[in-house]
Amino acid sequence: MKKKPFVNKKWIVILVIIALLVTFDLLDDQKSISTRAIVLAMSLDKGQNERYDLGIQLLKTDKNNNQEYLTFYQEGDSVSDILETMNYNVGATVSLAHTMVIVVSQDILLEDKDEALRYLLENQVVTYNTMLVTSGDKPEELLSAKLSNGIGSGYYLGQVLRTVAADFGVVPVSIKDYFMLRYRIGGCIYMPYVTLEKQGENSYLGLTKMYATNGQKGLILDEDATKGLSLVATSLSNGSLTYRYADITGEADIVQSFSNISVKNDNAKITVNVSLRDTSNVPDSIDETKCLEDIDATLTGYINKCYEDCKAQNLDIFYLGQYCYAFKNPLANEAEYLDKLTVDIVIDGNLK
Amino acid sequence: MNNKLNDRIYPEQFLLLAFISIMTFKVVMLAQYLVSEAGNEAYIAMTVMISIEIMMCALVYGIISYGSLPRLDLPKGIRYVLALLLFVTSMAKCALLASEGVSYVSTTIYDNVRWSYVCLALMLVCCYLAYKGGKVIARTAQILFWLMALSFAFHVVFAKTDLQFVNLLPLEFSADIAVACDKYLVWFGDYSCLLFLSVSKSPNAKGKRLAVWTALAIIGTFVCAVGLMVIFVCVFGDSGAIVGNAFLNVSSLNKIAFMIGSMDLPTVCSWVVMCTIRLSLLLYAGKECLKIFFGEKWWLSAVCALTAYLLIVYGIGNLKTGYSIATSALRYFVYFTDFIAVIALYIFVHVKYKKANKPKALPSPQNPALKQISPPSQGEE
Repeated sequence: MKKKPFVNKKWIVILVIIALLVTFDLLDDQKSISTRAIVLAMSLDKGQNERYDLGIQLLKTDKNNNQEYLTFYQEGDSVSDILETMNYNVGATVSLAHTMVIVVSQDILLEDKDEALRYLLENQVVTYNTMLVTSGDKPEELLSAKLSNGIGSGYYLGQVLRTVAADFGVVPVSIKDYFMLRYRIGGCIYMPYVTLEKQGENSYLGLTKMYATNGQKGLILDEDATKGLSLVATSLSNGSLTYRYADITGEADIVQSFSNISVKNDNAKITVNVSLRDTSNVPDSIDETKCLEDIDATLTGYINKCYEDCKAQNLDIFYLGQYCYAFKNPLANEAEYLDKLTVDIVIDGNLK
Repeated sequence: MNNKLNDRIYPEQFLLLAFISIMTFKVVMLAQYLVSEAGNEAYIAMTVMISIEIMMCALVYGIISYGSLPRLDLPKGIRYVLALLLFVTSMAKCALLASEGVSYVSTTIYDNVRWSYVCLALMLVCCYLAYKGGKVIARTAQILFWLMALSFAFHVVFAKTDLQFVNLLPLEFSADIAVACDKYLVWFGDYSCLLFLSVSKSPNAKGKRLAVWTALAIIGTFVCAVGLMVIFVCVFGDSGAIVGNAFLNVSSLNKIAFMIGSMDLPTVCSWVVMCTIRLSLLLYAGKECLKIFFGEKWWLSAVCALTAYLLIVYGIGNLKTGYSIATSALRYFVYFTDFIAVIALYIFVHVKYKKANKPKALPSPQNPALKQISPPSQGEE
């Protein structure tokens, strides 16, 4: 009769594997979360002599749960060098994996040719949902602004942008959207334009405009043009519109809207389907047709403003070139396709 | 130890292993490479190649229903030549594809861990699975299938994507598709390792159930591979050429990631499992090839694992080198060996085992007749 082995071979193999894995885990230098600095927001600017100015915003909490938003700034030749140096400045390994927003200067958007942002995307330094914003003020000032609610401005911006994703107005743009749009014909991108207003010790952030650029020219879209962009660029589920006819003024809520663009020969048709709900107390007295006429005119005006303002700067804000390519229109191969295209805006609205 | 049964699997297990073989490394870097070559037509290239692979898997099934490659009554010379070619192919593929998995683990899951550590941990597990045989690999895949299914269901339920279908247009079949299919051949042809398994029906099998599972496997492969490619192009457009780890980035597009942060644990777990099974199959194929030359030896899977380890750590070392080797002339050798081996074997079994001369169905492990001949020893599976 065969003798039973003292220990089954299977368990010896399993023990060897566990021993090896544990040993190598001890040998390697992996930083725990307590030695990492979690960056909530970042600023990116062009410094002197083609260098970068990078700022990060961290949250520091103590035993009594007191929160303090810290900002650190560093200059360097490349983003990777700056982050390496930041580890020493901060005293912990800087982790951008939870960065909610990056404040990008217009110099970066117009002069950098996406080098810094591409580094962040290709090397997965930040997540693909990280939002991008720009401002007329220096990104450093925006990041270090002290808000009246005590929250860090960068973190606050990140929170706000996530709540206005489907709102009528500013269109939040993530870093993945930025590159998806950048690689389209025309290379035009847009992002929220943040304004900073200082009142005494506190600062207030304004988020009603957008900024559009193709890497060569940039344009700040006013509130009406921004609304026009949001109608075409995203599906909306929140917002309100005022209508006026005769001596009646009322308000309608946007329930849902989505757009469709088609290109045939030298004509581009932008169709926006919008469902509205009237908020008046006496709906029976409202003339639906006249309401819709007024709303149609308003929305058409917004979209037209956005398109014409951008067209004047040769910015293909609605990616008509890409649609020409998609529908095999020969205009896509022409440099001046925007000048040759006529645009019809159709608003298909219904009011309940 | 009785190893005579360690290549016997059920048809449902074959379908699962075929799905894992086809899917695993098509959802990592291949999406980025296809977009860089074929642009918006990348999903068409994926559809074409996946269709060929599914058809080849059907041929493989037709072959192994007569027995695994070592069991087929091949002339000695042809057996040795096939074994040598398939060994080289399996090791090359194992090294090239595993380097993607090792790179992903070392740079994305961890913070720049050395490849040697990750590779050692991976190869030890895969070596053990290869040593235990195809039956164990199939059973492991069957048990862990529910992890993959739950991960998939999770992402379907919580998906939040803004799909830009215009990125898929225009729909045309340009030469870029052929160029892409040609350049990235190494990432396809994932069926030759299945030749070292043999299929026998479960005594409890019902005909309709197998048909249902087959249909699900084919649809699942298309949905996962081609569907992922479509979503990738819709979300990233031409910028997909600079976006790696497609499965991770697409799976990060969910409501939870948008609200509170990334929730990619289900995806990571299921992919790492698939990667381990896939590499185990390749090492198992290598081991079976060596068995044809050296007979049944306990150290064969260790030799295969060591070969793969040395190739990955010292031969390849980084993704860029792996990409250069994978897109070199080696790709033709690897792909066409897989392709021609399967075609040749299919013709052989069809000629040799015609209907009238078809041998009796291979006994399944539960066959009482087989138990009388060689009962499994203590502690065996």
